[in-house]
Amino acid sequence: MMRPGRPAILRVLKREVSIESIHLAMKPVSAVTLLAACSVAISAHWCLAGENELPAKKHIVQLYSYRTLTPINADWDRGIRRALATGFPMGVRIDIEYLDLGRIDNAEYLQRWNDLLRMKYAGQRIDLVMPVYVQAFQFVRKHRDTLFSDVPVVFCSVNRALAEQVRGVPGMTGVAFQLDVDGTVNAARALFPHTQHWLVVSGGSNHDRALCAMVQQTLDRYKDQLQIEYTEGLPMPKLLEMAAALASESAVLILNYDQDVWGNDYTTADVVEQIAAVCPVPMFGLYDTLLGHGIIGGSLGSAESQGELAGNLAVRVLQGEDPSKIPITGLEMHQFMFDARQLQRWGVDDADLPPGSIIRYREMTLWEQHGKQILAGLTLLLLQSLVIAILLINRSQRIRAERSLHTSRSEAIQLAGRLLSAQEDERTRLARELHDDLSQRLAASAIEAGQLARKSTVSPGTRATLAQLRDDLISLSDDVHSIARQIHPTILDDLGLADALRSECDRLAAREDTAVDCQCGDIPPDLRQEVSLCLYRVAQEALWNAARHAQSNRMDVRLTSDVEMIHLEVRDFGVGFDVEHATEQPGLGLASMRERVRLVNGRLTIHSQLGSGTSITVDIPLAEKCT
Amino acid sequence: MNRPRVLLADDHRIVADGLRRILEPDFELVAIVEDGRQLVEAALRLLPDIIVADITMPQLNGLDAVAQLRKAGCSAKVVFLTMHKDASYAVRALQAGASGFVLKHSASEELLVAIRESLSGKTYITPAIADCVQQVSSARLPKASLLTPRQREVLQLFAEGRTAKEVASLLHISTRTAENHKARIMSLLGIATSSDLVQYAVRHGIISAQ
Repeated sequence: MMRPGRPAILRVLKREVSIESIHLAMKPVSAVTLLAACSVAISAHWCLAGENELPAKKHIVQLYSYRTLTPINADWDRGIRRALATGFPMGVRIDIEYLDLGRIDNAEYLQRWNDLLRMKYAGQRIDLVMPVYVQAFQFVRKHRDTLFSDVPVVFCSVNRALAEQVRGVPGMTGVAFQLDVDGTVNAARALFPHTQHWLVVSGGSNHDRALCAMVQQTLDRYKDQLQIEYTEGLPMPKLLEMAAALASESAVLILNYDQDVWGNDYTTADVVEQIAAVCPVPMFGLYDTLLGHGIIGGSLGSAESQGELAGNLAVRVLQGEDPSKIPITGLEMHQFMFDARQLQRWGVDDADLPPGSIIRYREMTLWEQHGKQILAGLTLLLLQSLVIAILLINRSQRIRAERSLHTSRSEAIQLAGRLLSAQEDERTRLARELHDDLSQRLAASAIEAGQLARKSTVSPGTRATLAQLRDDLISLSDDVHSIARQIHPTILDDLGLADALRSECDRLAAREDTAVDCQCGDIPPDLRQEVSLCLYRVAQEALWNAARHAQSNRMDVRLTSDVEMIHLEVRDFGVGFDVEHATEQPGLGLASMRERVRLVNGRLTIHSQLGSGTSITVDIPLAEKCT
Repeated sequence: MNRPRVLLADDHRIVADGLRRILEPDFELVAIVEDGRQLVEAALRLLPDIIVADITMPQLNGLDAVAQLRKAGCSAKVVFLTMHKDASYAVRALQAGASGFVLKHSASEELLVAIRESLSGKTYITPAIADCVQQVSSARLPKASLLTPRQREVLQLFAEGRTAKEVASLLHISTRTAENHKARIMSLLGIATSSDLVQYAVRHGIISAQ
């Protein structure tokens, strides 16, 4: 009961406020609480005023033919309410009466309904009356003048013949239905070609019989081809027995079953479910309320669609359109619909269904139910795999790059070593050439010149010239020898590292006029040639660096060895330098020193401080290590 | 009187020819050989009074050849004739047992002098480097007491009383290497016992006396 609802709430609210006020008055209370109470009271009054200013909601009275809570009523109601909700978002006021005329339709019952409704709606403004289905429509038609005079009528689901009768009646329009018996029967014959016998199930109420008669008119046309059996009002036990005994070339057509001949009441959906449990052949129907209860399908009308159509008409009428100018609709609203579970039960392939068929109750496969999740999961998995693959590829590439870098590095070291040794080889060859050939020939010439000068037959003038020639040749030979020595220290091969170092120190001391103290310990005689050459070259470089840059009047060279290492130290006492800075300078040959030492697996260390000299040490392992 | 018998070793034919002309008037040139091995073989076979040899020669250099001859009991005088105007060579030549050191290109003036000096039991060194040789010949002997930094470490650790195993683990070397170090150091320093080692270390400030 919506109508008295709001005032009732307000009354309650008011009472609560006043109780609160009394309660407050009895106690010393704070002004804040009092204020709050006042504001509640004020806002309640204000709301009431606002409600009164809104336009009144449209008032619809719906009259259903059947008792409440039948499946088909629910379908109609859903359709009608959807349409009304769309047309009136703010809502309409709906009063529903379930007349239950399917079971009782005697004159007194009808008269009592008339009285009851007149009393109930006396003095109320009614904007629209909506009779649903045939019996309710006939009731409204009969009692319109007394009950709802001048109220527009929009009917829902009235059979075609009845609708034709009210075409053009002022203030009346609606939705009519026509059962597509042909469509259903033909579809059934196409799906089950061997069907020869139809059992037509319908109830025994007046309306059941009227509907059956209507269908029979159509079915009579198939009398030649099909054996058609009617079961009007056959009580359920017998009906079930009969259905269970049906032969395979049979089919069942369900119409309407409200009552059996004994006066027991049913709803058609219940009847369908009971028959379906025992029936060995497919059942067809004519409206979609039964779909899902056991029929396989057919060309079905839809109570819900009819309701929605009627609701749409109701909206138009409530918005002021003249009902008699709105044509009656809904007649061609059939749709081939099938129950997927029944299709499976009877072995029907979807492809054989009439084009445009709707299939309901399809049990979704795992894929249909969780397709998105599965797809997302698979995608995630794929992405993950992809990332892993990329990382693996990346890793292997890096390993390969590192490996090739390592290879390149060792190749570069080898190459540098080969370059150095090739250079030394070439130098050795060149030095030998100079020494063995050029220098020796010069010596031979000098000897010859000397011999000539000594001969008694030579005049003093010629003797002097020859002596000069001999001296020139000696000088030249010395120079060539010196050059050869610079190119390659033959002394290293002849006398070994210690003597070669000493000799180098002597030469430096003589040339630079500085003291060079060279001390060599007990050096192994079988020192590898590349080690002795390395040490000699490093010492030579260090000594000449010191001579050029250190401004030192003293240098020390120490060459010692123990059972592990051979150790060289070249030290000056001069100005020193910044080691970090100097390493970048190419002029000092530090890089080439390091390279030479590295090639024999040695370690080169440079200590230097500005003002306190420089010490360069080299340690080379004596046992040859694998590189 | 018999002329002294000379064996000439020089791998440069053109030089050898020049030398032959210098030598032949005064000496009996018993053979001219071209490398160190031939020199050893010919000297032992021909027993010359004096050998005139180049230092730098193929197969075996003059110094090593003479060392071999001395070992084999050959007492012939040796004069080295070389291109190397270098005191180091001269010192080594004298060490090897030579009594003359002449630069090749001065041969026409000095060779005969050097040979005669040698034969009379003296030593002749070409004047160009004679002074240097005097200076360095004593200083140039290998200094046994020179130790490497590693040897000083090892010496200190042993002198402090550690075992070879401890020394090895401290220096990240094998025990055997540590022992080798110790033996080598003791032989270098002419030390026989561990207590001498400690004394040496104390004396040289490697460890402090307590």
